Amino acid sequence: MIKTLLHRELLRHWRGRQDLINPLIFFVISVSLFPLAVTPEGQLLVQMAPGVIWVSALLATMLSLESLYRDDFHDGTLELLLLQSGSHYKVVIVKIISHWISSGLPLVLISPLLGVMMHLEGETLTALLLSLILGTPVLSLLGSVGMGLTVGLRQGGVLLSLLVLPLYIPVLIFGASAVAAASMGMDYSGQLAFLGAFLLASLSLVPFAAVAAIRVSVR
Amino acid sequence: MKMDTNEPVLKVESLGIRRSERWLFQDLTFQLEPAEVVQVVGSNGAGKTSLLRCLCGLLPYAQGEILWRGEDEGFIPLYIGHLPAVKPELTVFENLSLHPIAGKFAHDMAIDEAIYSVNLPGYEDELAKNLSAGQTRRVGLARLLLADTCCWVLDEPFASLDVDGCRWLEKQVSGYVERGGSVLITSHQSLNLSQQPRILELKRQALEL
Repeated sequence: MIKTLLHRELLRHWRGRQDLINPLIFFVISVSLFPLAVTPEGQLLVQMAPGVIWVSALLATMLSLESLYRDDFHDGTLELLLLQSGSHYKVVIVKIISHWISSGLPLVLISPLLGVMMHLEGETLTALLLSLILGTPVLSLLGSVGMGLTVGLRQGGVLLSLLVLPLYIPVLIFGASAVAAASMGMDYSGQLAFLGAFLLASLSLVPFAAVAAIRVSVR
Repeated sequence: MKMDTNEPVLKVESLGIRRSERWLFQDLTFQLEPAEVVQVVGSNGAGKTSLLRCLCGLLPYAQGEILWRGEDEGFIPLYIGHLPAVKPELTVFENLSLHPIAGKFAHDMAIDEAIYSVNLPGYEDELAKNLSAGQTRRVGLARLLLADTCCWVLDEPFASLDVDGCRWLEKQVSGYVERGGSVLITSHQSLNLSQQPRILELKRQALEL
């Protein structure tokens, strides 16, 4: 069932890729605007880069959350998936994984290019890549709870932001901090360890919360 | 289709569903026997869809008991609701083969036969977004031919279907019941089946069976 569902979700995301390209373009453009608006001077950009790239990644993930449950809710698929006794958590996990593969992974892959544009180099780029690899799945996982709660609402976007953005703050702090530490030549393994802990904790706890949130919306 | 015993497929006792502060109905008691069709009728807002969603575990109930094959949970009927649950980005074939429930055990040949049966031959590779509402409904109903379960729960399945589609569905329901299956169905139209359906009429705050 998991393999079938993952195949189906990835195929759907691929066929409707325009919805997922838009957040990616938003990510690239928003990061690109900072050198134009603030300064093209390298030293200042290196200081700003961790925060700018991480905040942009966070907002781009927020934009892509719509594709997680919205269509399934409106065409009746979500309630069918909830009918499957004992496998709700697997369904939610598969949907989050496919969401990350189709929206989070492209952000991670394009981030070194944006890092170079922001004058990051060497170890700092590695830290950026590693922090996003560990952090963006957490963003998808936490976002799934907010999306589950707001999927049935007509104007759920603002409420989704209010619900999810506070939960993103620890990930943002440790993610940006890892890149900043690397840019100053300091050890950043502690920050990555925290991001890894966030990932494991949310991977084990979030599906329960997401299923409960979807059940509330489907009712 | 798994039919091991002669016990009722579904036993509902003193069921009551609330919406906000209002009771949709209370003290609803009925059974669905093997090889039987129960048609739920009632005026708009009487609670037909809520009853079916509640029986399938999609809606909580305020009182009573629901026992599927003598158990209170674990059994899953094939539920087809108001919405067809057909993904517009997938082809007709993919909608059936990659369906998490119906597609689980279905082989390619069975899916081709189901598509032929719902009168959509030649549409296998067509994206569902290019189908009409009636054709989309037919794709949703094709799952009836693929899922291996002893009970169908159908909520207004005739909606959007043309005359031929309605006849096809009546034929499928009749054949399924003859093979020992049980069907719980909501519909405003009278059904022309090989076995006369038992009528369950829902009224607000009152029930007649």
